[in-house]
Amino acid sequence: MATDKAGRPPAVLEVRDICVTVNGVRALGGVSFDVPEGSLFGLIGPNGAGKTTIMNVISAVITPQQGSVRFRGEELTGTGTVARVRAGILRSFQQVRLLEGMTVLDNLLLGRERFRVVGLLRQIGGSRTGRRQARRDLAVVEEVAAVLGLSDLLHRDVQDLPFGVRRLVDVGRAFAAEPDLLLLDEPAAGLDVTSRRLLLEAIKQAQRTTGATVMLVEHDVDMVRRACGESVVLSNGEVLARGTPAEVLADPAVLRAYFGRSDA
Amino acid sequence: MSELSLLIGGAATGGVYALLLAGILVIYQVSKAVNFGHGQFGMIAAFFSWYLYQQLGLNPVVAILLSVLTAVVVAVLFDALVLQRTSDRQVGSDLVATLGLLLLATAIAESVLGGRTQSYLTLGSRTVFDLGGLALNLSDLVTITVALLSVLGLSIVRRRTRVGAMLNAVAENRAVAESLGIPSARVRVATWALAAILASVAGILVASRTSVDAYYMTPFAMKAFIAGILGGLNRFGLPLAFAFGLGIYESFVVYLLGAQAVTPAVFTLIIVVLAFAPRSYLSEGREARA
Amino acid sequence: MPDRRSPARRLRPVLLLAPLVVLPLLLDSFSLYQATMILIYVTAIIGLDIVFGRAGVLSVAQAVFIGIGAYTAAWMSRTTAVSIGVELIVAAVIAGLAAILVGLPALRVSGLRLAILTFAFVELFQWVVTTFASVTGGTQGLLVNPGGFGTITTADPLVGYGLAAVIALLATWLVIRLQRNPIGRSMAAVKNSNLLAESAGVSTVRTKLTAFMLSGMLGGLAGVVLAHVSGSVTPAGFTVFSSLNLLVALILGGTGRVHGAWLGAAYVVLMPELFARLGIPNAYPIVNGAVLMLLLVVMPGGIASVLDRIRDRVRRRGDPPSPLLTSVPGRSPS
Repeated sequence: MATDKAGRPPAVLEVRDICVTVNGVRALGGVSFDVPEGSLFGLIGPNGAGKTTIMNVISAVITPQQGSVRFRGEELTGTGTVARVRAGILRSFQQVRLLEGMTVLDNLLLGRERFRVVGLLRQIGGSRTGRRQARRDLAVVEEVAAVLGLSDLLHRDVQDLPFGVRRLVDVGRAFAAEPDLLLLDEPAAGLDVTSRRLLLEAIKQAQRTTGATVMLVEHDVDMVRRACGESVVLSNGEVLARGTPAEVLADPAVLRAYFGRSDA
Repeated sequence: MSELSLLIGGAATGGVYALLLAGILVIYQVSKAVNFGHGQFGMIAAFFSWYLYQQLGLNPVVAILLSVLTAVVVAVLFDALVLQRTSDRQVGSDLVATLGLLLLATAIAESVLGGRTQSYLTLGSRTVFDLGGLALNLSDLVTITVALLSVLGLSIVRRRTRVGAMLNAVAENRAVAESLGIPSARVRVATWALAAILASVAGILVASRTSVDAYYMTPFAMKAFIAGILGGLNRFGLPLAFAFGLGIYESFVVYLLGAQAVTPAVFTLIIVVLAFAPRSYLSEGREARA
Repeated sequence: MPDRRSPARRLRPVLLLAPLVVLPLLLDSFSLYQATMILIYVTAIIGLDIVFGRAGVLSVAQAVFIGIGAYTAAWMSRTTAVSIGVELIVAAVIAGLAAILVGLPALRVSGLRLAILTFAFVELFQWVVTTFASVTGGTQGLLVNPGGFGTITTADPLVGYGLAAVIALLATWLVIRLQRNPIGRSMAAVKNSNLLAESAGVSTVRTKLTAFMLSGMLGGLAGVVLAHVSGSVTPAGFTVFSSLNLLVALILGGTGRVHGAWLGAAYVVLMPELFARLGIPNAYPIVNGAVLMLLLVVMPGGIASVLDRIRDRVRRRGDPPSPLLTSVPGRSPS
């Protein structure tokens, strides 16, 4: 999925000069990058580089002291998390958060919340619009479940599922929302090598089917090399390099930042 | 000089709120639970000491010491046997457990007292002396002094001593504190014991001014919670300042608008603070890391 | 979704409803009164369950909403000649609005401070009732005239029973509808984690306010029937401790489960009676306190979860584990 430098697709997300300070410690110092439409974009960097922080900024979980985020050319600064989700920016978490005690189906359907238009009374009483939407929600969710291999587990309680499957459900919820931009925060964290590959394949396939732009946050270089197109390397809250995985991994600054440390 | 006597009377009430709130805060920060039953530690101390000296004829000083010890034991046992065993999975189970403590302590006292109120040792609450036309109640002065000393002492302990550093470390992050070799379980016991002592002092002081029944501490605990909400449960100095301020505010409201105006006046204060305080001031900073 | 329910499952509602219809004909007047009280509490506890069990916001203000309903009914029955239907609607609206007011701090503060503030609202309600004594009767309270539709009034215990039953069933239907419905899901999301909810596009404030409003409305409806069935209202019936009793009932019955509220309601009505008959009426509040304090340690899901587990065990026999469960990604040893 290499992009030609000249004929590259327009950026779906433009991050400009983001600065974040947490408790007096600088977490991000002027980070800028573009995420091209339809790509599987890699955000790489060692632990503590500011990867999760930049995702929190994009999804409005935290407010940066400085800088702007534009989505499809529109300024996002000042809008809240819910507004951004409704605009099509979805995310998963490093620490899996699910509707505990509910089924896989319920968890995937939660992703459909952003399309909800029917009000309270008609929601409880039942309405034609509501039923039509419920049918569409179910169709999308079943498709996502099929792609991620969750079809047989739809009616299982998520509490009873192993960790790796819970990850899939978390990612599936985001895909069920038919995202324009999906931020995945270290989806493979805590999985063994085989599971990582399976998960990565599932994500790639889901991305192909839905056509979403996916931003993958990883500190595992190997995984990014396998999956991503264009990538950005963060280190100590600054952009160290950008380009294809092959390009950035050949960058001496990246090598120093990465392999000079023990956690690469 | 009525303003000054209002100020002193209000500060005494605020001192009681502060004594309760100080315990609520250390418990919240170390055990991550809001203790709805906190006022009842004070009730237990006052009620039990009343029982010991009035019914069993013990020396009042011995009775008070024994009853404070009882409140401490109840508090520590409650934390160890109940609160530490509630599951994190069920949302609000810690709140439910402390509400249970409130209900249980109240019900037991109610069944023993049978709904009657009992007069308590006056401890200087009937002693008034004149200071240049200013009538000063000994109990007010004692309450203010005790409250200020406790709050100051606590803040010195928190900032300057090794115990305080351990307390802060456990409050900040228990896992990290434990990995540094801090005995977090013992720190927890210490905070509950300390909180129960402060609540006992508050309970006995209030009892000496009014009387003892199963419910008499509830309005005081309520106000301590309100001061905690206004000042922030994750802070220390500010909520305690709010506790003193709330007592003084109430005393002026009673003087200017009558006792009936206190409840709406406190609500107005809550609304004003919640409406105009910036979001960063109101946030509790939980769930920070995604 | 196609209806895949088996005939046995379709019959279940009928089987569950039949006793409700037959029972009043068999009971003596005191037992009928108690059955009515159980149904009233079902409605009130389901209301509490929506806010606490489903949306995860601890509230001790539920007694306030019942109180608002009861006082509305008392006042209307004394000053107007409208049918009880109008009283129910007015009470539901007022209590719903009051509940939104109680939930409003959610705009600025998290669930914890919200829970503490519900405490303060009980205080405010008590203040209002004792201050505006000309309307509310102060601490003495008010006598309530029988209400009804024309000549059919709650002076007949069967009418009170029927009314309580219809409203309890309505509340039960509502909470069943919520369960597998987007609103129920958004409540579950808010309960699990604000971050999860917001990142799925669920507004936590709106969801909490919706939960408060529904709980308030159900509380108000319960209050109207309570006022008419008991014949009087006093502020002492709507304190923090009344709310705590409802919380005991809900948690003992089982939060977030439909039958939990029914079991809990039976407990709060029948237990005091049982202790009174054993000659130890004082034991009831003590047992309640102990239950509230210890239950989440001993039996986190309440009685309903125990019943569910028994049912699951019976049902799961012979159900093979899904093969996918063993082939999908597992946790790495770390």
